[in-house]
Amino acid sequence: MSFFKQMDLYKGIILMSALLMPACVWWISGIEEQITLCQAAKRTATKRGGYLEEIGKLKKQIEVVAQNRRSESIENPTAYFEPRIRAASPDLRVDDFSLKQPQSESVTIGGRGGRQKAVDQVVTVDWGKGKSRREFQLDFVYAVLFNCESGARAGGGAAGPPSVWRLRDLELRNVTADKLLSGKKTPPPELGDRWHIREMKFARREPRAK
Amino acid sequence: MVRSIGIDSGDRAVHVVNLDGSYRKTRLVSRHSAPIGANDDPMRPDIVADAVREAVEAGMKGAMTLGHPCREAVLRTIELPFKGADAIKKVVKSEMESEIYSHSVEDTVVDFHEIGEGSTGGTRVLVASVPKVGLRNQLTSLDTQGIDPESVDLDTMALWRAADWAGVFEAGDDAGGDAGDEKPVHVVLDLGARSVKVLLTEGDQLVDMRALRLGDHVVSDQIARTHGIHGEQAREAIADCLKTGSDSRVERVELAELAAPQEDAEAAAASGEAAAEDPAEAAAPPASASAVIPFDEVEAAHAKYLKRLARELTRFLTATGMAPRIRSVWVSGSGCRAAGVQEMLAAVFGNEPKELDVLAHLAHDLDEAEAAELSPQLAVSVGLALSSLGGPDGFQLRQEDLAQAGGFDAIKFPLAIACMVGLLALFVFANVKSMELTKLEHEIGEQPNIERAQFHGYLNPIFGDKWLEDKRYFSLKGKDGRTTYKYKDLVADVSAAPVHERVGIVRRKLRDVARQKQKETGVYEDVKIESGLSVLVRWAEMIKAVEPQLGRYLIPSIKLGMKPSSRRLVFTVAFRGEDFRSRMGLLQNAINAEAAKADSPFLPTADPTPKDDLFSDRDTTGVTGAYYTFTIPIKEIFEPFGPSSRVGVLDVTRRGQDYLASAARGAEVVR
Repeated sequence: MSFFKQMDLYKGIILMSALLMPACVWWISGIEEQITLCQAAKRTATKRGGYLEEIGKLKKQIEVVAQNRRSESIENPTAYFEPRIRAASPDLRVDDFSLKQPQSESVTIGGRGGRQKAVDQVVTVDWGKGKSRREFQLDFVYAVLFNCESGARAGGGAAGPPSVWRLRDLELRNVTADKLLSGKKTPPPELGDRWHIREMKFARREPRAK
Repeated sequence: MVRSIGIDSGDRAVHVVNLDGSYRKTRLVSRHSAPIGANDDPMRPDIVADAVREAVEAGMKGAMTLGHPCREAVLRTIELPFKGADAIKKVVKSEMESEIYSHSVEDTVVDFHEIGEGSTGGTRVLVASVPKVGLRNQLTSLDTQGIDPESVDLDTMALWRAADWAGVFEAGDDAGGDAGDEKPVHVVLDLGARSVKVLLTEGDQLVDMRALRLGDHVVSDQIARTHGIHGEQAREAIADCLKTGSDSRVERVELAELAAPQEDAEAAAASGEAAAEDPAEAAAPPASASAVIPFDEVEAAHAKYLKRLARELTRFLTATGMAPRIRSVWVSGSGCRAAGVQEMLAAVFGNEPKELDVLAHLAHDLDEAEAAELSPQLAVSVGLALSSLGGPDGFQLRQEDLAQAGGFDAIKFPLAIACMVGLLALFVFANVKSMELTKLEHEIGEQPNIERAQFHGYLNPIFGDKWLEDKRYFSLKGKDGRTTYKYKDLVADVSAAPVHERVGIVRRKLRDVARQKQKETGVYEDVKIESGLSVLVRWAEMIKAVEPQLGRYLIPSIKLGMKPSSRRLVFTVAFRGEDFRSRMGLLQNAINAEAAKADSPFLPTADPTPKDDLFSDRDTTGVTGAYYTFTIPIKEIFEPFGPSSRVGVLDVTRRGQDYLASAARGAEVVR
């Protein structure tokens, strides 16, 4: 105990340092640990596909989801499609087409190593058969497809997210060349812009319940 | 067990003892004595250093205390008007300045011993002032032998400590004093060859001490000078005469044989000391081979010495005024057993002197005769060794520039500086790191005000645009459909979490919300379905692009399938004219070029060349041509209206890359 008995300034400094140095080292190690955690958090947030990017996607996803309520396009597809199809031509009658109830189709999506099972809800737009089938111009077909895929509304309105519905199947046959094609006969020099829509299907996709 | 070494540079021999144990239970481990020749200077430091080195080499170890002869010191008793060792220490040197005439006080080491209360209420102190030069020479000499004693004390203090340890002061305590409360006075004497140390104690409290520059050396010196013999021979002859009571015959020898080693003699001659001390001896060469030392002459010289010593002691006693209170007298030293000494001391002090037998109080392995002979000579060295075993404090003469340079004290200054620098460096480093952490926390999402939902860094835009406050977007609902987690809960969670976890918390909560809303609405962005319309648009662009080269062509059927198991576009084209094959080749090349583009929805076809379906009625119509049916596979995932598409090119900013989304922004259907 002679160390304490003969205490002087130098010994005081040494003693104080002996106490404070470990405290400083402990403080620095704590800061270092937090810096490491913050740097890792920063990397995780800012890297490609990181948290910030994911947050942006999630926000957009939530926006899309929030604005595509079942009440409109999902719960009642007819109410979604009919006005958009009819908006393509003022001459179109209600009985020129019919909408079938959505049919579930199991599909597997994703490439090698990333297979994912999903369910496509497919809505068929029936444009008639035989003599009851109407002829349409290509502009009309494009307008129908655009209106249904974009989710645009007649008369405009507030901007919204795109529709969840996408064109799944489409088959068009030129009315003029339809019979000639089946017999491989010589077509005329020009074909009229008259088309039969033999098949038109739209689909939306959701994960398959496990 | 604690071990200690005491070094007594006595008048006739250097005594070194090694003790271990405790102050009350002490054992003599070993001892070493080195004689000092009669012609040698007892203050010669190399003799002491050699003796100590030999002792250490023989295995002695422990804290070392060197005894410094009291005869070299100036002793004064002074009174100071205050108490406390620290206060006394500050002034004692300046107080001694007026008391010392032989040296400058700056050239001396000054220490003090409190011996009682002053008459005016202050402190009475016994102050010792020792010239540094002798002390330094001794320490330097020891240092050359690799020896560095921890402390240096006066030999008289060691004598007092040895007497205290031996319990000699307890003997008269019960007897009481003549003057009521006054404690009995004890006298301790050490009779050496060149000095006599005498100290007085009141009870066990040291009150005064003195070193008389007088010893039996004067007798042997006188006989040696008279008869032309060596000092040691004279000493032996004197002892023989006093013991037998008759004359003693001494064979003369050449002085050189008994003298110190050659180099020592030369050194002494150089300093002129030998000539100054023994001029008669140097001047009177021996006349014959033997000399007779008469008893009468010896007795007379010895009596003269005793008489002179008695006179000095009486003078000392008279000065102290304590003579009537003396209760015991204790003697030690090489001269304590000389003839007539006991009687002389009894006459001076009025008490029968008793021998201070330190070995009687020590555990040791010496034989009885050896112990009896050595005991009086070892009192000082034992007292010195006892200082490290917890005995009463003496003087500490290793002060100022003579302080021990080794050990902790030697490094404490640089160590203190290094500690300060290290501490400062650590403090600066910690602050730098702290600033780095603050910067990182700012970048991530520090909250400047806990009361407000405002954050810095990455969290700022997330919380800043009110998006999270909209319950249509951010809210979690329970099974009953009521909101259980909303914006305020998120803010509370994020505020409470460490900064590095905050972005993760937001992401986790948004994911929970997205999952719940997906489940609720049936809209799943993560299993998106590709646009068939975009495939058709891309195909139409391709056909339009190659139209100038194709010339007239007819497309009677188109069939698009986007089902995952059969994604393809099938179309039939008819070419009229003789060059139908080359035009088919042009179209085929255009399809292959389109499929080769990275952002194309098409894949290269496995069978790129379709078969010719020649017009079946060409003989009738006279028109040559053919139908070709192309099947183009479609990628599972593609970028609709990618950079190479005409639609995508129109959007320079690429913000409206999603053609349908940008069209929807216009919010108008196409007619």
